[in-house]
Amino acid sequence: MIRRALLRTAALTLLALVSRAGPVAAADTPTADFLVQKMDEVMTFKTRTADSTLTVVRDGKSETRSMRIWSRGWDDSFSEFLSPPRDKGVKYLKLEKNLYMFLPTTEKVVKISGHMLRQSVMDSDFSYEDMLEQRALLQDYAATVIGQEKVEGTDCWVVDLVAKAPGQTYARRKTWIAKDTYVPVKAERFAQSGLLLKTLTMHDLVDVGGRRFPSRMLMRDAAREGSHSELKFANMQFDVALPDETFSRRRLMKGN
Amino acid sequence: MSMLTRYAWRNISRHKGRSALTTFAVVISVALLLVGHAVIAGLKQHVVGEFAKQTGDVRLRHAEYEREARFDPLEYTITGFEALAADLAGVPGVRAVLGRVQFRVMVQSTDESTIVPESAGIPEDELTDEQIFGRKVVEFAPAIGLVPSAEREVLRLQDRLVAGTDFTADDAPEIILGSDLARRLGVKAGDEVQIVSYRKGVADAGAKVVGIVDFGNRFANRLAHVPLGVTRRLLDLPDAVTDVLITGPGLDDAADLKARLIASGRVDGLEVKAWSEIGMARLVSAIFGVVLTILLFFIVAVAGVNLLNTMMMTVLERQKEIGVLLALGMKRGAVLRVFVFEALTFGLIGCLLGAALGSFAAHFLAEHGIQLGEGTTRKMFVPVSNTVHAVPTWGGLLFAVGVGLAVSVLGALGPAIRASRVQPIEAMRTK
Repeated sequence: MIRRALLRTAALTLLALVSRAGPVAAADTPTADFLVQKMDEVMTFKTRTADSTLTVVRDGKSETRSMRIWSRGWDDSFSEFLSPPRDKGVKYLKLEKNLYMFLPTTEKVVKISGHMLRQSVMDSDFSYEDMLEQRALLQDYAATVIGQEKVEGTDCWVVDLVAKAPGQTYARRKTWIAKDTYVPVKAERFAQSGLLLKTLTMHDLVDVGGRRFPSRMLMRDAAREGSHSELKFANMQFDVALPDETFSRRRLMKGN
Repeated sequence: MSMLTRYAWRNISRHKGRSALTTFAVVISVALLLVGHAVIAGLKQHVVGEFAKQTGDVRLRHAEYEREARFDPLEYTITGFEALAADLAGVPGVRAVLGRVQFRVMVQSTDESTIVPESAGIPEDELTDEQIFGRKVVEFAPAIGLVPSAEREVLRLQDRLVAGTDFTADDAPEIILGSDLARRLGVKAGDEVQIVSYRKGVADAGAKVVGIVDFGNRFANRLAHVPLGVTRRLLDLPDAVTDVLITGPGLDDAADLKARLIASGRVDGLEVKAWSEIGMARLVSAIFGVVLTILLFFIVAVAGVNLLNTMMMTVLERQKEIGVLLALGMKRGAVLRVFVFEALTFGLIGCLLGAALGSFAAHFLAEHGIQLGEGTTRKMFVPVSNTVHAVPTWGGLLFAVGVGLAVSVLGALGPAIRASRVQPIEAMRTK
């Protein structure tokens, strides 16, 4: 009787291992760390400038804002809203983990910190925390390849990233990395409880300066029913020379 | 009857100490009842009055806003407020129609004295944020957008000012802060603050702190009051409000006013509530009802037991005497009337003295008020002043005297019935 039970348990365990390993053939599966590093390489740049539009669609109504973006790696960025008139002149400066907002009406700067970080950026599905994200995911997350799937016709590796320590904005991320371009075409972000918080998808890859980069990102905040936000980039230029003053706090305060 | 009266009066004066004690119990009970009634009436009137300042006699809201109010759902506002207000002004009994916007806002104060000028030649990366932008304090606070001139008769911020002044104009870039909020921001009247809203993106406005108000309540003292015009520009809500407050002949007529508004067909599709139907009001009324009932119970118990005790002692002491009177032909009904008369005498004297004492105390508390203690009022959900004034009423006086007399008579009834049922032979054997 005991022998039969042991045999049954062993058989079931073997079956489970085989089925788990099934979609990913061990021999040609890259390691999760390799995939995440490749993804970071593709998505990281020295500098970038771009014109961008942020369209928020909620309950069937859409509102579009345009802005100009200057970025230096993943750490620093400066963006200025150009339209609509209500938002014209609003500027954001991100310096590593600090985020500042200049508001033209009062010509004052607000440092965004604490629970303000959970607020949405311009009523979109992106939060300030999303803006502050650092790219070096492997520092904070343990990665595992959990399978392979097609996302809108693109073959992807599915990588599960679990926060190594509490305190991360998202406790777990599931990322679909394109096999050919290493672009993270889809990313789901989860709370500690396992609740899906946000889904980010990347679309319309364009060739700029020898690199393929998504020109459209779609974010859905699960907490905002009937809402999604689309961030589109145009006139992207990579590795252009940007003066240090571009990312200056004094310059931000002057509003120019 | 006059013989019975004289007999009863003689009995009362025979045990002066006991009679005085019984009368004293009635005096204290009636006085306490009268003061208690006046204090509760004052507290209720004060709390209800303060509550109605938040709600008006009748309040209109978008039905969805009412359901989701705690999430600050500014997508569900009442649009076309000005036209609606003009329309509602024609409904009989409507005195004023006010629009308000409840919202959450970020308030930032800046102390620019910490800024190091560029001319100092210090490289930027050696400077802190405070040295570049100034020392900033940020607070998120609930806010009310209101029309200052209209609110002088309703919210009456002018009565709560502890610093500065009321708004100088209906649409000026000004703000009145609750005292706790002002303290946290480190601002005083005359300082400038920045108010920022995250609705539909981000928008801000500069505002001068014209006044600081103290409601003696931590919830109300965290509020920011902003003119409606400034609020609407900040929130991009032209011609919209979250709350429409309607005042009428008085709070007691709110239900009738609500009925007239509904019957007029001008508030169709909106959530219409009289002040007494809104959240805390029901609870407040219930609490005061319970407190009054408990007070009444204790006072009645004290006075009743005391009277019962006195009358029972009298009956037991006078068993033999009652037996003799019955043997001499006194009717049982007359015996009953003697004891009831005695009780009524205690009651009447006690009620008169109690009413005098209670009225004096109630009027004293009406004039000087009762200190509730800041610790108590600050935690209440409704702004309640630290000092509450009693409201003595004729109704309260009649109530106290009526209860005093009723307890006196009912307390004596048992012993009186017992006395009237005594068997003369057995009673005369009593030692």
